[in-house]
Amino acid sequence: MSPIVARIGLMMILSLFLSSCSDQLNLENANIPLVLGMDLDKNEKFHFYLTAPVFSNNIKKKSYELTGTAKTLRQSKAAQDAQSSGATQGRNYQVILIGKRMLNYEGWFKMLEVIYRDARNTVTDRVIVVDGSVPEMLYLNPPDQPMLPILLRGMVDSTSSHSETVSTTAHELHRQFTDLGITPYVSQVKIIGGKVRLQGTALISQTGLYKGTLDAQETVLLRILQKNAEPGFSLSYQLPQEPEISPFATNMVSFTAGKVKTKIKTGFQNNRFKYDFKVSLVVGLSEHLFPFDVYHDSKQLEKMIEEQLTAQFNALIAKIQKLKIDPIGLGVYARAYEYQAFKKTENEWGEVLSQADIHISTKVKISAMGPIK
Amino acid sequence: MPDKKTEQNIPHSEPISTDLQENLAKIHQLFTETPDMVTRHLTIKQSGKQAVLIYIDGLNDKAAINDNVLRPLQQELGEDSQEIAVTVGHVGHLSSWEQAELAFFQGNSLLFIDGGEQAYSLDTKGWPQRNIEDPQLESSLKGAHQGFLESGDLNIALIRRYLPNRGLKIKRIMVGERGQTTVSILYIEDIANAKYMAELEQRIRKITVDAIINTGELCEFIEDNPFSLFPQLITTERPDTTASQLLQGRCAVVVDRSPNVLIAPVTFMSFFQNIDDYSSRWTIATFLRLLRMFAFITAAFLPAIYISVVSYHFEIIPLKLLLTLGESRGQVPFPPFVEAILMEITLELLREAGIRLPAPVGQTVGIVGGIVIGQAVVQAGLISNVMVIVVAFTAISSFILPNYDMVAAVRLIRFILMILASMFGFVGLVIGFMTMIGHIIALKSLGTSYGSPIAPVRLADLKDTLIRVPLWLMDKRPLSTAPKQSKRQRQSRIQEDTE
Repeated sequence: MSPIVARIGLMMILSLFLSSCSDQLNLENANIPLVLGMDLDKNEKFHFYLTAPVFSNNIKKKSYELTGTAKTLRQSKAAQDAQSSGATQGRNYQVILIGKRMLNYEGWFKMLEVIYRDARNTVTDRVIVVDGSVPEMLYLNPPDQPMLPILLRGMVDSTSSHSETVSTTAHELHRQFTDLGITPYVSQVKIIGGKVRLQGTALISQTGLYKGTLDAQETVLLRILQKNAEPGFSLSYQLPQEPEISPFATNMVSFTAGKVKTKIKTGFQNNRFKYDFKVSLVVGLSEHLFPFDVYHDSKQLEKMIEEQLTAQFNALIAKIQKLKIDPIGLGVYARAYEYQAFKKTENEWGEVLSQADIHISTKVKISAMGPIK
Repeated sequence: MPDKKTEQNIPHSEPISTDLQENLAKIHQLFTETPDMVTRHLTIKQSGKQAVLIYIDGLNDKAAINDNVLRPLQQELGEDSQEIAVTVGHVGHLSSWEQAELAFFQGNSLLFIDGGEQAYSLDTKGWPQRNIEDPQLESSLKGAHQGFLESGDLNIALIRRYLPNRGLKIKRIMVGERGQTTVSILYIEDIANAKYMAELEQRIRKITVDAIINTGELCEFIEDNPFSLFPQLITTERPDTTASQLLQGRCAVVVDRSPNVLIAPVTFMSFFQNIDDYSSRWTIATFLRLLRMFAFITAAFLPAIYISVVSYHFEIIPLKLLLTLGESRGQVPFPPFVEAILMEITLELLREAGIRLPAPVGQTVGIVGGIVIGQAVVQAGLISNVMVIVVAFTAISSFILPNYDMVAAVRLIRFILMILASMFGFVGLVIGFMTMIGHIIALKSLGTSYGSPIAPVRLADLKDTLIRVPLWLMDKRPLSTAPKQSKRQRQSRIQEDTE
């Protein structure tokens, strides 16, 4: 070994020690909260809530909760450490719960700053709005259900995989807040009858105010318009043309979508934005409760479904325009195709979009009807 | 040292006398306190001269002495001829006492004839020898069940059975001042590169020690980097492996009295090859090669990865695994590093104990160890379940590797990486990994690149490393040995395209 190589080698080894083992923290010595909750109490005071698993065979309750008030999340760290046996680490958050009460105030998003600034924190955690109080959800702990973080994360992931809600991560939420061409949307849960229930999608304005909720079927439509509906979602419609024999809704038809294609044409005319959506679906019938000869008259059934679908799309657009928000991200299209016009109006985009002329046409093709007549 | 040599050599470098009585006196002077020496006085019937036959009881075949030496000498009638009338295969002429002593201790019997100007060494060797058995370390499912023995000549004969060709050359060197071990270098003249052969010969000639007992000792004297953890030469116990390596352009070194044969030069990848690879279908052989590489990585890195994940980077553990892992870790009183070291040392102890003990007791060790590692330590709350899985997986991985020397290297590397991981987490692991790769690339085996064919890149050689292509596509010898003649075969598969 030549002396130069030896010297470089020695320096490399010594510089290793600079990094040293100061950040060593064994798993069992860490307090690893899996849920971060934030809410305001009755007096509009900020509270934080954490749930961390307990690693022991002897303790029956598998998780413990930390709560407290603080000015900011980072500042609350001392209060967190004071309540737990280990050093609290924000490295494994699975879900971030935000109380609906916070959404009445602009600027709550700033409270999440530390999550993005401290690179050790995860940004893949799902953000969920709680319709109700966060502590109530945190202390729910039903004995017949898995731990809250597993339950919520699984609920959001599986439901969003068939497009019935959205799976907004902290990272994605940051993009939605900073991009002027889109307004934020996160999934929403509520406790109904002592059970956690996923409600759909909460729509939030650019400033952070709660605007409204989309139910499961509306979320599916939203995701079709966003072009990120994965094949496999299912939709059900009540066809008014068909007879209904109560008490059963025998005029229902349900189908599972295969290939979905959304084409968006963007234009700007007469000081108004103009959007032309062409949605085409290839579907398989999963149930129809009324007598219908699909084999021969599929065209007729396709037409009936198209009408229903278009009507619902229009209702969704009307709702969005009324709320003056843009969860579809049409501003992104405006910026891409009509940059000058968008640039002038980007700060009141919700308002501008509500004036826009949006037209939707749908095309449905039934490709499968199942093995029964 | 030099004075010792002279002291030993002076008294018997003198020539053998013509007078039998003088020779007898000299024999008694040289070989004192040698009760296993047998001296037979006889009269040669052919010439009527007095003679003395000496040999060491135990190193000689008594039947051969009786039938091939004593009987002809004492019964032969007829013309007086120059040659003595024995019927053994190899008769040597000795003119000095030094030669006589060497031949005597090598198991030849010496014949002194009154009035003769020289003595004869008669090849009547015959010492206790075990039968040819299946090799222990390098077992093979499909290959020959013949392993090397403790006799250099027989080992060379075993190799020659595979290569009955005059191209196979053997170079004999005597190594050792006291032991006088015969070391033979084997190579195929028109394939092996003369440069490596010369290098090997020069390194062996340089050795001046009392004796070489085993091939492993020779290895240590001629290795390029004796401080490295990695073995740079292969020792094998299989004649078929040796033949195959010779055909690839490498040299083999047969050390007399050692059941191992040294192969040089080799590459890092050679340690992951097995003779069975060439007799199984190429797809399964490729799969096994990849499996061995994977096993090498796991055996070296798995405990270290476990330590760094649990002590530094638990954010990368998926949620459900985190909960199980946490529960398992929660009751353990030791930090992960101590836990891992304890288990790894237990494993090494068990392994050593199993080797040293006789087979029936060895099994008991295995069972006791299995219970200790498997159940009791977990139930006692000393070690976590996951650690047991990690250790078991590591052990199984290291058993897969076909070369024992490489397994030994992996064992030590594992401990170094565990220390690095416990101090620096993934940063330390990456530094360790890079250092290891750099070291492998920098290593040489007999002056050739150890990292070939990956560094330096030799694309043609990749055919027989991580993957093994079908044999008929392997038409060139490996470039890493720089063979004189690279073509290994012509169109070995019949192409029926002319019909």
